[in-house]
Amino acid sequence: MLPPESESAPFFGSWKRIYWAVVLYLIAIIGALAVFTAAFRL
Amino acid sequence: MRTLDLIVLVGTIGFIVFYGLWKSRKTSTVSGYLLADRSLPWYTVALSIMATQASAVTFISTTGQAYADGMRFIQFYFGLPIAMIIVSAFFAPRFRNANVFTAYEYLEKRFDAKTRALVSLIFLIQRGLAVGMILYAPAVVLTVILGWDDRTTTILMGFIVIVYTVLGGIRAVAWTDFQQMMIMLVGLFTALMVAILGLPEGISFGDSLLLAASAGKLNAVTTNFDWYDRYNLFSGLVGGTFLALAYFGCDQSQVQRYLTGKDLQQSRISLLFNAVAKIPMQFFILLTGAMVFSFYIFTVPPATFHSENMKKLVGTAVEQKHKDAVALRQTAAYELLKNRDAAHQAKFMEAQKHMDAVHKEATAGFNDTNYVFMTFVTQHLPAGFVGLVIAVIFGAAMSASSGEINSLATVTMVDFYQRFVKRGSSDNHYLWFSRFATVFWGIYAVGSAQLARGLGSLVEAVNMLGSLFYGGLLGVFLLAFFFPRVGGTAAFLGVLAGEAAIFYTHSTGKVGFLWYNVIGCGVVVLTGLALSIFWQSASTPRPHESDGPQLPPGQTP
Repeated sequence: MLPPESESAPFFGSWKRIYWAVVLYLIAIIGALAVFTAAFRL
Repeated sequence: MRTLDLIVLVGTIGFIVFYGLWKSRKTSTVSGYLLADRSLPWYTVALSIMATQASAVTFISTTGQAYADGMRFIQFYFGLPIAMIIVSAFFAPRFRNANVFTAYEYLEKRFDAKTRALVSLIFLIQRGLAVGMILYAPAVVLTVILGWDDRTTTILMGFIVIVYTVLGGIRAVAWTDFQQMMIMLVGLFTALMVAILGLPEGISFGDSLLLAASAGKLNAVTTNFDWYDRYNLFSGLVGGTFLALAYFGCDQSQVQRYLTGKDLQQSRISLLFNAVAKIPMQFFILLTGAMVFSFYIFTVPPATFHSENMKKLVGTAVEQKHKDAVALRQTAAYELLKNRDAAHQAKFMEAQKHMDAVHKEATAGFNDTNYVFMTFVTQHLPAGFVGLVIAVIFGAAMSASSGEINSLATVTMVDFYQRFVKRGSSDNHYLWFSRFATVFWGIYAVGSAQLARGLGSLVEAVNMLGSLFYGGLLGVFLLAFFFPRVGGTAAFLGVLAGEAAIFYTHSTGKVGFLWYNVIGCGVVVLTGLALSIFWQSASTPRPHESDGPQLPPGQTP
């Protein structure tokens, strides 16, 4: 068995922060799509 | 088909295949053949992951779905970023650190040989059934739209896939996926541009959005909850997370992709790239479908997009009714754009409802959704671009099926042949067996594609098939990672119980298929836990660690 590989994050300092950034991105994108859905109701 | 389109089609496919073979020319070991020596950069892995997931159905059917049902299908992907985080944080490091070729190999290290064999077998059954459908799906549409023989189309595509998958292994698959994904994006962008630029003078992109939205085609987020409604915010977030987690975490066709990354960091970036890029890409595909809808408000669409059925309608009262409905909707559209108020929006919606009713009459219950996009492409795209879009359809079918064939061959070789039939043989022997297994699954895919002819809706069939098995697969991996006290027999029986629960739920017909994954996974975990508690109470508990090999093969609690 190989030794565990390095888990250094390429940006934001840690993987945990990158995961939180993805979660925030998902919330933002769902929000944007909700606005997009409602934007054309006259 | 015009000569220029044919040149573009043959040139594009030829370039993709030769590029893939050239990039894989140095493959001479099993590790190179099945895992590209774990050497690929993140961007190749990322696009390969996306291309494997995006079959021809994605492009043909998703655009048609937006045309007919609106953009709410995008919610199906809301769970994907969450799943990607979980796979990146828990699945990828465990698979990489265990130094496995397949996800199921890990299960023997964690549980026992029978659990590995059962889960590998489930994978082979599920993917073996799906691979023919994936190859056949575009042929159905190309047959009707272009008049090509579906048997010849599937055999031709299957032959090309077999050649580059057998010769180049996963390296060829990954690099052709990379190229195919790039071509797919170019083809889709072209179709979107033509739909927008094809609008009449004075009708802007904003106007076409307003019209599409007024007809309910821009419904990207819907919050009404219904157990049987597969596309809403809740089923997308919960059911979509479980489905994506099962697919990316337990399906060898995807696990093998991120095992080819240079290191864990590259594998994780490729997964997270998918998390970020997937929803915008699907939005882009669905928006193309919605814009095709707006395009057909001003350009008379056929009464049915199935050209053979359309021939039967020529000169009938239904065709005239359809033309009247189109004229009525067009007038309502111009009125709406002129006045831009709720009353005219309601009138337009009314005209659209009437149009839908006439369309239903014209199609006589036949679902022509899958023919919308290709009809638009062949009738309205300029010469050369039609060839490009058909290359996209071919490329998508080929990238998805080559990924499946490659992973089926890998599981056959690693989890059955190397484990149970011939242990301790030379690397060269296993390399040749891998090639043989690839040829076998390739021929099997082409053969089963011929049988897929009578299956009706292939999109439904492929999606349903996945959901019948993924819950069981996901459950056993969650037991492996997060419940260290659960042993092999408990996990094995848990999988059987989970699959039984899924098939029972399916037989009731009362729950949308996205929930099968949640139900199956839940039953596997609960059964595994209950059985392990029962056994532990009857014997001395044995502590395990949550990762890596704990029990020798064959040992059960």
